Amino acid sequence: MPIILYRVDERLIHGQVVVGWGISLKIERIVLANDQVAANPWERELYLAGVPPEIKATILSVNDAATRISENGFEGEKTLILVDSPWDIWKLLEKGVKINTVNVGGVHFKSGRNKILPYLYLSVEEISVFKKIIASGVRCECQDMPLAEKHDLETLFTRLGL
Amino acid sequence: MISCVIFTHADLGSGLRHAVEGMMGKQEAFSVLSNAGMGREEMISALKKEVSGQDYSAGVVVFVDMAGGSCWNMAKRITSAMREEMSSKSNQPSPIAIICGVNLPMLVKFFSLRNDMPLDQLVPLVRQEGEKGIVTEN
Repeated sequence: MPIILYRVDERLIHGQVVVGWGISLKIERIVLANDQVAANPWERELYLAGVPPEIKATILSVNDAATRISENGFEGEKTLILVDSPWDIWKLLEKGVKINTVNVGGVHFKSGRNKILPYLYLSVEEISVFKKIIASGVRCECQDMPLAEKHDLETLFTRLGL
Repeated sequence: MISCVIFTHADLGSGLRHAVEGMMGKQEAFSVLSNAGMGREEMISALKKEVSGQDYSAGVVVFVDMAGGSCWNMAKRITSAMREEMSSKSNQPSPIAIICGVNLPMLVKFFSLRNDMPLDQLVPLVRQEGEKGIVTEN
């Protein structure tokens, strides 16, 4: 299993991902899949500077990430795929990437978003994309930190009447 | 007087403020911000608000806790944008500095000397003090 975690986290590469998930899962490579970051050299440099030397990092557009994943381009390395929104997970799925489980981490408060968990606020549009992802057979597990309790997103939606 | 903004994870900044003011008394031109519960856009607008609320005449130092963390990332974004904005207006050197890895000895040095010298001289002294503050025995 080369890819051991798909994570949605609005902050992308930051302490919780590198220190929290990176260390506990012994991640060898972080793949940041994001069109804006991939297209901007300054942004690329900024995010790469946040990666400690023992972890390799690759920044790709979502399409290029999908291609590399489908070609088993990360075989042999414990890889964490990082995106900042459910739309990019959906894009990976549409490109034929097989995903069993998505880890949903920090998507924070902003106006127009509903509170799901203390670290998870979603707009109506984001909820509907997550529902499409779930309906396509992917389990969405909310868990901000490795030792935190896991919550199934579908169950949370039902419980909150969303 | 050079202004100070501390931007950290969780309550680290307010703890540092409590500690440094416990030693040196209440400090002016000093604000503290946590990234708790904030997304990228919220961090940017909150930090921008704090930084632009400061008096620029002598400069502003933004202290952050960890290189590569979100506070550091956002501080770099904002200061780079503000630097560009300001340098287009004048040829003066940048009045904003970022110091990463904030610790208590650094802050003590900063608040002791911030009235006595310009920003570009103060920053290396503060850094040196922070590094001197790391002592190991084994």
